Order: sequence, then structure tokens, then C-alpha cells
Amino acid sequence: MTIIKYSWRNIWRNRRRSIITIASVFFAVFFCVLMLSFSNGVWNHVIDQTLRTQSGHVQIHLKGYWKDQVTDNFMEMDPATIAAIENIGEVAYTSPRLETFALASTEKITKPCALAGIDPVRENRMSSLASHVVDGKYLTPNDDGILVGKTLSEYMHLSVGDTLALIGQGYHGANAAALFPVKGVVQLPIPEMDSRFIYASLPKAQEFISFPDGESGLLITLKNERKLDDAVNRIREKVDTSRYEILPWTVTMDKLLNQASSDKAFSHIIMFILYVIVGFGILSTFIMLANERRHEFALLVSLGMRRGRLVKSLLVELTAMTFLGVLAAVLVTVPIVLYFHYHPIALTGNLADTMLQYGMEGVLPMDSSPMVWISQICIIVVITCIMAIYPVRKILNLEIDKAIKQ
Amino acid sequence: MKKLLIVICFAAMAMAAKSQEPDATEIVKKADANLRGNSLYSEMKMTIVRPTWKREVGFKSWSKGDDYALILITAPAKDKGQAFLKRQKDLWNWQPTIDRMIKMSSSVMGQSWMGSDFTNDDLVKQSSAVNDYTHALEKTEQVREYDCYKVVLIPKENAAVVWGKVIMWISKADYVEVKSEFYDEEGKLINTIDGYDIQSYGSRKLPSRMEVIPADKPNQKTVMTVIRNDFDIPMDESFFSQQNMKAAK
Repeated sequence: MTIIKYSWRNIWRNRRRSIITIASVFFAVFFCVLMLSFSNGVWNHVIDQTLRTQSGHVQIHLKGYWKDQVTDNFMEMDPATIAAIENIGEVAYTSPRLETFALASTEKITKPCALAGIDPVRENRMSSLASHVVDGKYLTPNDDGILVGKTLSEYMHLSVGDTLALIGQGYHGANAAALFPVKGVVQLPIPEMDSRFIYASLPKAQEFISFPDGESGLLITLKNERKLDDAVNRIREKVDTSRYEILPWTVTMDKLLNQASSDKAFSHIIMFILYVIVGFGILSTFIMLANERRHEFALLVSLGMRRGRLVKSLLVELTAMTFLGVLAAVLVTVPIVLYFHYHPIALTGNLADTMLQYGMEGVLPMDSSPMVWISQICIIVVITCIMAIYPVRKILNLEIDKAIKQ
Repeated sequence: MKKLLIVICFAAMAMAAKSQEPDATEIVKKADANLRGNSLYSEMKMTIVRPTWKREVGFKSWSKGDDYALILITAPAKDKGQAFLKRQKDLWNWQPTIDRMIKMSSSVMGQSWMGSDFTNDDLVKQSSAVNDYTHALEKTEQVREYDCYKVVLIPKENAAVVWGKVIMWISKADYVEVKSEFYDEEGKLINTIDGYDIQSYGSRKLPSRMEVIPADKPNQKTVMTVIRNDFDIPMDESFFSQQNMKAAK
């Protein structure tokens, strides 16, 4: 107890020096938290958007489809199996999809597109597609019309009521060519989709490829994406695995995941440089502290204070200062991160265009998961501990006679 | 003496006959003449056989020489009315359901035609077995019930031919190709075509059923069955037009 009291007094004896130490810890945590929260936040957002709209957390296909994504590898799935999957606790929604490539053509312009046959009701539950309709109307379950991405509609000069011809590959060599009226225009958050996606109702798409009840796959979104492995295992129990393949998003979206991890690796390098800078910042205040107090330490030891006790009191001092710095940083960063988590920075102008070219929406939310703070605080505390070796050694190796003469 | 003369005569004739091995080029020419006419109208049924499914496509075709052809799909119902037109090296596809005439670009020429083991290229590219290859008679061989000449065809140096080697089995009796094997430039077998059920069409004899078997895809083949073949009926070049693709019946 006396040590704590003594240390606490010591901290405020030289207020300026202590504040510099606390400030260097504060800025270390402050910058690292913001940096990580930002980098994680942007990627989590991209991945979440993609999973919700494009791939789901888990996908079921006919065995062999993933390797060779042709119409001949499409599947049929009985409603009982789908109901069994929906009854699994971890599963939030399922949405059957019929995804195929098609050449879309108006009188003058032809463009390769992705045609997605969807169950409009279930798809809307999963990706709230209806809310993305910016012109015209959303699809009804047996709709003859199509929804086209906004960028695509602009490129092909399409508006609601126009007719679009699609030519694709039918099931088992059948001819797939049909005319579709445009029922609505959707603005999709993922630019790559916005420029090439066409949505049709499932029955209409099945008719197009001449495969009644055919689907390219079943998309499944989970209530909690952290329980991915559990969910995959439970789905496996319900599905005939000799006929179907069950793929988690880490497999189906491996390109995105690779892109994310290479981008994260880059921000880790920047963070490492940041750690080195803040580490030396903290070290410099410790060196200052140890040297300024050499005389004081020597005096205490010569008056009979054991060096061990002195080290202890110094460590308590350093710990307290680190704690104050961390606490201040947490108090400042939590509101900032939470604010930008709920009100993401929306980029405009050139920067937004650049982001779009990389296939990202020009929105920068922050990651507010506790792991951001925990990991950064741990790292800064470890760095501080390493740096504390210097003043401790200084005390243990103190040459009393020399130091006391100063 | 007279008797002896007759015997010598016979012997000489026999020897002459023996030494007069049939010329490989001659064999191919005769087989080719069986195939080719000035014009041809035919009705066919194409059965596409895959390990897990089967599909039948019916079509009518008109052709004149090597340069002009028009194919009209008659079945299944969904594809009915679709037409293909070949004029020299160009191929068009008429899609009545979307009211579009599509010029088939070089990028789709390698793709399967109507889901079969033929590519679009096969419809357009016509190499002449007579003019584009050198021929060598290897031996005579029995293929199923037919006694055949086995002829090896090697493409001439500047002939526009995709194959590295073609082997044909041509029946001795009717000069009909009952089997052909197509090899790539590395000598790997790509396709085998078997001809079955030889029938007479006017003065010609042709297999009425042909099976195309790709070598690298097990349990997969395309069977062409001839329903009708009318050779040398008068046809005008102007028949092979885009307007006529839409009107053909």
C-alpha cells in the first residue's frame, strides 16, 4: 500500500515528465486503434455486403458445380431438404439461385451479363433487394420481367418498360434465348454487380434455360457468421453429401478473402512501423525519467532502501502511467469509432471513383468490435513492458557513489 | 499351242491384276464422290448422348457445293424455327424467339453446336479429303461386317486443316467410309466417326447413321440419323439468304 501511495506521489512530483509519458502511451493506443478499426471496418463491410447480396455464408451446389460452373451442373433440391436446412438454429435465411451467364442485347448494344434467377420474397429477406430498386417495381414470385443493375441500365440505355433480349446456354444443350421486359432498375452496393447483374424470377429463369425446378445453388445466410464451422457441419447432416457439395464462404469467396488479407497485411506493415515509432517514444520518456532520477535513486538506496523495493515502486509508477494513457485513449477512441461505425465516412469525387475501380463501395465504416481495443492495448502494454527493462536495469546497476556525487 | 497361249494370257492377266494394287487417292476419290453432290437436301435426327442425359434435335438442311448451307431446326419445340446459314466462311444464326440475327464470331466457333459433339467450326470448315491430303493405302482390314481399305491421310503442307492425321476405313464393295479416326498434331486421337446401315440414295451409297465419339469423354457421343437425303435437286445460290432463314420451312 505504501508503495502505491509513494508511486502515485512520484508520478505527480514531476508533472510535465509524467504527462509526456502518459501522452506517448495515449497516442500509441489512439492511432493503433483508429488504424485497425478503419482497416477492419472497411473490409468487414465489403465482405458483409458481398455475402449478403452475392454469395451467402454457405452455398450448396450439385457435386462438381464449383469446379465447372456450367448449366449442365445445375441441381434440383426437394423442398423438404430446404425446410430441414431452414430449421437449423444457426441458419437465418436461405435463397435459391439460378445464376448463369447470358449475352444481353438491345437494338444496338450487346453486353455479357450475369443472370440471377431469384425467389423474390426469400431473396428480399436475405439481401433486402427490394430496397435497392430506384426505378420501376420489384419482382413478384412468377414475374415475367427483370431487374437490371443501374450502371448496366445506363450503359445499355435501358429504362423501365424496355425489352431486353438474352441469349445464353440452356440445360443439356437446349437453346436459351428469350425477350424480357425491364420491370425495374436496382442500384446494387457492389459496383461489379451493378454493372452486370440482371435479376429474374426463378420460374422465368428456369424456363429460359429449359430446366424446370433447376437451380445453380442454394445460398444460406447465418445468424452469426462466427459460427460458420458449426453451421456447415449441421447442414452437412441434413443434406445428401454424395449428391451435393456444401461450401462455406471462405471457399466460395476466396479471391475476396485473399484480397482482404493482402490488404490487411499491408496495413499490418504500417502498424508495425507505428509500433516502432510509439515504442521509441515511450522509451525516450523512460530514458529521460531514469536519468533525471539517478541522484534520487542513489540517495534512496544509500539511505537503506532495498533496490528490489525501489524497482517495484518504479514499476507501479510506470504501470499507473501506462494505465492512465490507455484509459484516456479508450475514452477518446470509443466515441469516435462508434460514431463512424454508425455514420460511415462517405467518400466523394475522385477518391470515391478510385474505390469503385477497386470494386469497393465509397463508404468507410469503422469496426467497433472489442477485439480492436483489446489487441491494441495488449500490444502497447507489451511494448511498454519491454521498454521498462531500461529503467529497471538502470536501478539494479546503479553505481551509488558516482550517482550520488552528481 | 493354242491352249498354252490361253494359259499364258490368263497368267499375265492375273499377274497384272495382282500388281495393280488399288491407288489410295483413287479410293478416297471414289468415296468422296459418293458423299458430294452438286446439291443436297436432307432431313436428320441428331441424338446427343451424355453419361446422365440424352437429347434429340431434328433438323432439315439444304446445301450447295461446299460454300452454301442452310440448317433449320425442327425439334424440340422450344428450338423450332432456329436457323443457321453458312455462306463461304461466315455463319449466321437466326433466333426467332428474340427476333435476332446473330453473326457467329470467331470466339464462338469453337463452341459446341446445339450441345452436340460438333463445333460451330465443323459446320463451316470444309476440307477436301481428296485435295487437302496425301493418301497412303496401309492395308485391308475388316471393320464390323465390312471388308475395308485402311487409308492414312496426311494433310498437305499449306492446307487449312486442323487435323494432324486422319485414318479412313473405306468399304471395298461400295466405297463408303465406314469408320474414320481424327488425330491432332501430336498424334493423339480426338474423334472417331462410325458409319452404320449403308443405304442407297439414288446412285449413291452412304451410311444412314453416323456416330461421333470424342476420345477424351467417356460415355459421350452424338448420333446422326438420316431420315431423308435428296441429291442434286436444283437449288439457287439466292436460296441461301438471311431472308430465307426466317422463311424456311
